[in-house]
Amino acid sequence: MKVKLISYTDVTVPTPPYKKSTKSGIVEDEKGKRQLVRIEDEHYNILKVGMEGRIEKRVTDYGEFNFFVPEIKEKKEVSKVALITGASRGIGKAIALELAKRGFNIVMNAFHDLPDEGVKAMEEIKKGGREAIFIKGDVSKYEEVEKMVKEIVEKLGRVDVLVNNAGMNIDKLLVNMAPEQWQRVIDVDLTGTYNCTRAVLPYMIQQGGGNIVNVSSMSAIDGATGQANYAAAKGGVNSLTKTVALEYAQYNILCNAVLPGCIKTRMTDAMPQGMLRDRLSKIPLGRRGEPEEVAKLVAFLATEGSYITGQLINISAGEYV
Amino acid sequence: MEVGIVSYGHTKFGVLEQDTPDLIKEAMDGCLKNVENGISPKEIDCVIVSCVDNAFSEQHQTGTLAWEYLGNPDAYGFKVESACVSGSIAIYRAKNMIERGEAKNVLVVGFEKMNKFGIDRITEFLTHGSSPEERKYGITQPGAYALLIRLYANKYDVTEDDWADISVKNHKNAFRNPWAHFHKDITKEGVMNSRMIADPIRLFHCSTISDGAASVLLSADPKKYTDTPVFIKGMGVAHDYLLAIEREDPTFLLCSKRAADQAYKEAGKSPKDVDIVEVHDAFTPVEPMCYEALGLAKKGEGAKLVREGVVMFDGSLPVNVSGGLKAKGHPVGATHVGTMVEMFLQLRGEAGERQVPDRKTAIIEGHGGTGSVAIVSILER
Repeated sequence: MKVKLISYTDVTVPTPPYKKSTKSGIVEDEKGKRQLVRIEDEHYNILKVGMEGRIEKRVTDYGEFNFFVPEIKEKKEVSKVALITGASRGIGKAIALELAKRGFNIVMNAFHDLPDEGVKAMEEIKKGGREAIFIKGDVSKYEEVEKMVKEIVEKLGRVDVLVNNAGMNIDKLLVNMAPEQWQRVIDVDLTGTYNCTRAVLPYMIQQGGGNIVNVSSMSAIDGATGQANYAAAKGGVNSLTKTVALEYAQYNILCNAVLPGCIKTRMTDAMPQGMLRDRLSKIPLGRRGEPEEVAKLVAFLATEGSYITGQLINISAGEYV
Repeated sequence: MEVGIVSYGHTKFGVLEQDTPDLIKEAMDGCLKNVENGISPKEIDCVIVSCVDNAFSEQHQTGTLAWEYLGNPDAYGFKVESACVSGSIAIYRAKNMIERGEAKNVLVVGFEKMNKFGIDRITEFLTHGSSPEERKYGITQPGAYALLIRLYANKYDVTEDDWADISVKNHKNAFRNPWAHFHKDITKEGVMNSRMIADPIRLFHCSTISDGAASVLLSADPKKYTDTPVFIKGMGVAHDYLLAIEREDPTFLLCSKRAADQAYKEAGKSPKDVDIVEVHDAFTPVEPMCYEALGLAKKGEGAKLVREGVVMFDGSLPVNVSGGLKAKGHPVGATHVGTMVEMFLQLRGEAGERQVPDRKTAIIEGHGGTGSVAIVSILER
C-alpha cells in the first residue's frame, strides 16, 4: 500500500537499547491512518514532507519494524569524496590513487606545493574519470584546516573519508631534542589529526556517516630510540582513534588507525644501510613494505570495513606479532 | 468555598549539591516560614509530594520523608505522579481534598533530583513516559516532540526564527529570576546553530535537566494565614492518547484545550481575562501550540504573538516571565509547583526584579508526554 510521509526526525541522543541515532517518521495511508516507521540512514537526507513510498516489514536486532521506503523517481548518483592529508608523495599519494580507483573524488592536501610525483598522481586520477583537487595547507593550524574543509564541501559537495596521513619526524635522542622540535612533531602528527577530524565531523554527521583512517606507527606501541616526539604523537593518535570511534559510532562514523612497520618511504630511504639491514632481519617477510600495500589496507577500512571501528591495525609483515 | 494559596517555598533550580531529602526539606521549611501570620504543623492535615521518577532520586517513601519534615504526627503524606504535570496533579488533589472537606490545610512539595546520572540514563528515564510503540522505535521525548513540531510547521506559519525568538525570550526572562538554572544570555544565531538533538529540535530549544524543589500551602481559610492570598479560581485536568499519532490532530494540544475549558468554566473566566501566563515550554517550538490551546491565539497563529511582541516581558500578555522550563529549569516533579509559586508572587506583586506590574489573573498550562495529559490552573488575587 502506498503511504505518504508526514513527519520525520533523527534522534541523535539515543535511548537504550539503541546506541546510535535513530531515524523515524510518521506516514499516513490513503485512508488517513497514521503509523510510525523507521527510516534507513541512506534515505534520511532526501526526505521531504509529502514524499510517497511504501512500508516494508523488516526484522532487525531490535525486533520487527515497519520501514518507510521512499519512492525515488530520479536516483541521483552521489560521488563520494576522500580527503588525504600529506598526500603529495609516499603513502599519502598511494592512498589517494587507491581510493580514486575505488570511485572517490580526491582531495590531496600537503604542507608544500605539490611535487612532480603528486602532480602526476592528480593527472592519473583525472584520467581515470574522478575529480582531483589539491589544497595546500598546514594541518597543525586549525583555521587553515577549517578553511580547507569548507572549500572541499563548496567544490565537491561533501566529505566521506578522511585519511589523516600528514606526519613528520625530527629524530633525536630526548636529551638533544629542543622543545620546539618536540612541539612541532606533536603539532603536526597529533594536533593535525585532531584538527582535521574536528573539522570534518559536523559534515559527516550531517551526511549520515563517514570514515576516518589515521596513519599511525608501530613506534607508538613499542617506542623507538630517537623518536620520543614521533612515538608520543602517534601514541596520542592511537588513543584519539579509539575515542573518536566511541564518540561517533552513533552517527555511523567509523575511525581506525593503521600502524605501518618498515615501509619504503623517504623516511626509511634515509636510514643508514647497516641500520636498514638490521631492521630487515627482524621482518619475517624480509623486505620493506610498499606504500601501495598500506594504501590497500586504508582503502579496505574506508570502503569495506563496515563492522570495524576503534581498531589499531598493524601492517608490518610480521615484524610485530 | 474558594481554596487559596497562602505560602510558598522554592529552592534554586540547577545542578545542585543537595540530594532529595535536603531539597524536600528546604522547600517545605521555606513554605512554613513564609506563612505571614504563622502556622503550626498541627494545622496541616496532609502533605502531597510530586516526583516523576524515583529512579532519578533513588528514594522511595518521599511521602513519609515529607511527613517527618512537617512535624505533625497526625498528618499523612503520599506521592503522586503524572509525568511533567506531577506538580499540578498534586495541587489539583490538594484543592479537591480541601473542597470536599477532607482537609483544611494541605502542603504540596514537588521535587526532582535529576543530575545524579549521565545523559544516557536521564534520557532513558524520561523516555519511560513515552508510549511503548514510540519507545520501541527509539523515539525519545525530544524525538516525539520533533515529529509533532515538523507536522505543525508544515501545516502552519511558523519558522525557525520564531522558535529561536522564544528561546531567547525565556533566557532573557530567567536573568531576572534568582532561582533560575540559567543566567546565560543566548543569541538567536546561537540557538539556530546549536547542536541538533532530534531534527528539527536543537539543543537551545530544549528545557534543562535540573535539580530542585518547590512548595505551596493551600488552605480552606486563606485569610487566616495571610491578608493577600491567591485564589485558585479554576483547574482542569484532561488526557489524550499516549501515542501521539492516535490523536485526532497531533498538531493541536487537545488535552490542554480541554483542561483550559474546564478551568475557564470553573473560574467563570475567558481567555481575554488573563493577563499573565506560564506555559509548558519543555521544547520552545511547542510554546505557540500552548497559546493556541489556551485560546490566546487562533489555531496555527501562536507564533504571531511572538512576532508582535505580545508575549514578551514588556508585552501586553507576558508568557514565562520566570524563564520557563527552558531557562528557569525543568526538575520535572517540581516544575509546576514552581510555576504556581511564580504566579502566586506575580499576583501579590512580590516577584522582585521580574515583577510585571498590576497583574490580576494568571493562567498556568502544563502538559506531559507531548500532550497526553494536561492541567490548567487559573489564579486570581
